[in-house]
Amino acid sequence: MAEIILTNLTKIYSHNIIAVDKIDLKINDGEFMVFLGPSGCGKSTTLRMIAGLETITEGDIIIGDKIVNNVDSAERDLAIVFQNYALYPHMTIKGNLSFGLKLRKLPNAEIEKRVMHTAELLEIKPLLNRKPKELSGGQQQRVALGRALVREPVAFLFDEPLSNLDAKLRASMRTELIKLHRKLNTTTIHVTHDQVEAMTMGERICILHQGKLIQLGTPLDIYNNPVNTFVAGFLGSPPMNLFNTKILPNNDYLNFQISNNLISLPDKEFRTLIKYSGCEVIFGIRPEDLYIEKISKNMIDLEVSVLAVESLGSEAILVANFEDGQEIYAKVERNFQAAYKDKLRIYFDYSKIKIFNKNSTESIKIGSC
Amino acid sequence: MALTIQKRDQLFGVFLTLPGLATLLIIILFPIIFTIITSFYDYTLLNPHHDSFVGLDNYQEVIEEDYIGDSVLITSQFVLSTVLIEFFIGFIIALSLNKVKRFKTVYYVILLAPLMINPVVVGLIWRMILHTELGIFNYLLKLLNINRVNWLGDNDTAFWTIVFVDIWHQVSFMTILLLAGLSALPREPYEAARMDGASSLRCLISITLPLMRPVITVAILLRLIFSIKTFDIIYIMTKGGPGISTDLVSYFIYRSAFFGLDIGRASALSVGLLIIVLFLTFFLYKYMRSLN
Repeated sequence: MAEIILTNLTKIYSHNIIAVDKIDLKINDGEFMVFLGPSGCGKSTTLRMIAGLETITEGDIIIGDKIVNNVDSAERDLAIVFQNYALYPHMTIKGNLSFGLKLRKLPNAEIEKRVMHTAELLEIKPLLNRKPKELSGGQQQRVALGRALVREPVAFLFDEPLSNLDAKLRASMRTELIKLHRKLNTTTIHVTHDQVEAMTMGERICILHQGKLIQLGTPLDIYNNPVNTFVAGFLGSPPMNLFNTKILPNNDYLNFQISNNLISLPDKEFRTLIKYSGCEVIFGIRPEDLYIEKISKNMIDLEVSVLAVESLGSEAILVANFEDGQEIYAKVERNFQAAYKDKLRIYFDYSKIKIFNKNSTESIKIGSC
Repeated sequence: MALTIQKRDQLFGVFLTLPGLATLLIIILFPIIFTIITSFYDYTLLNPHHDSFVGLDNYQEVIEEDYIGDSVLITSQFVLSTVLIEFFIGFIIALSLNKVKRFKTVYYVILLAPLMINPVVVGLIWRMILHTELGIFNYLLKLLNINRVNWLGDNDTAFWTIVFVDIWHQVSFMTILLLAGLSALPREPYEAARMDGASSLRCLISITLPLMRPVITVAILLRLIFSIKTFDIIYIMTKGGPGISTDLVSYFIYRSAFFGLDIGRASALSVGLLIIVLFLTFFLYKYMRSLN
């Protein structure tokens, strides 16, 4: 068990392509950290650098209390689980599990004990004498996981291990991985592009975009306080509604014009925004913070025209637009019905809004001082 | 009655394949059938007619032939040495080329060059290079104060010289096949093995070789089939000699037909060779089917 520290970690490929850009990050001992980002954001490259499968252009990787930049993968004592499992196709499951232990010259009795223990833990004991190709995707994934577990490494590195599984299996493997982590308490880095995985599994999430670390925090913290429009638009399904607008002060109010709707906020509760008067900003509101009726006194309404209602069974998504065509998504209760082009008023509590600087896309703090 | 669409499609398919089929029949099937029929007749170049049916006499004669045993033995030695050596050299070259990232095309062109040369030309070139008096090989040996060697004329060296020339000519075929196999191997098991602490040698033994087994089998079988039929370089370089030291079965057949003038017996021999090649081909076909 060990903490993993990345300082100024950078990876530049040929033709000056910056894959990972000066990442500073400390992953605590025993923590379940999720690297989240769209494809090409550098999350896998970062993981592979930690694993020792990619060289480092700049910066340091510290595992425990040792800089491992030039330490061979095998000696870093980490175990990785790959997206496509990467089992040894010609070996039996038992062979796959014991290969690494044999290379480490562990006594046979110990190898047998560990393999059996892991097989029991992952419920793959009946598969031990089979070859990988005789196994289903889910079973192969368990074996790949087993191959990592059996080594008893200081940390686990998961490189999108659930992406090749079907939705149902993915959900159950998610729960199992979390349970496993609680049981073993081994430092884990889990790379994914799936926000649901990140939200449900991570103790902390590290959001990467274009090689840069954008935001680090607990899932709820990141969800509630996205640092910029990228994070706001990436987390949540549907993502946060974002509208280009301008702050126009008017007496005791700050006004925002969004298409045909004028939103007036009492400026005493939004003092931090006053200095942006006249500036172009991005106005954000999450779909679940929109209602089709007024349920509290702080609610502001918007007039929209219905495009569609997408039923998800347990809930529905109302897709509507303003007069200028900008679309807005709202989560509504499952039995909600509306016809195409119906005019509708939707409401939101103004304390739930987010405002972002249009130029830097960064979040602007909202408050009374 | 109107034909169904399926029937019409089938008919059109047959129509399209007819020219190809006809060509194949004429240039491949006809000689084979002619050979098989001839092998049951006393058909010589002095009396080139199918008028005296002799049953299995030609086959009997072939089995009782004095030198056929030697020829089969020499052919086996030739086939085994060329294919095995080509495999080892080819595999080593393929392994090293697989790691190369730059100038891959240049290596490919160099590798493919010998393969593109006609075997007769290969034979002629090497006959000159290895010429006892005029060849550059012996000239270089002389510079090193080593006695000249009669590469193709000496019983001890002729066989291995032929083996060497064949390897020079054919090793790229093996290399290209193996290289294609290597470059198609998945990357992840190697990364997993690296994390597991496997050395390069361990990766080669525990991952590359087992994963490459199908490609290796196919490459070796293909080369076996080609190697058994080797004729051109023998014809150009040694004519089976000196003595019978390079007398491969294919050349033996040629001699029976055009020096012995006994086409019937040569046909019986050819049928024998055909059966062996067919057996290997069948095995190759079965193996490749089993891979899918």
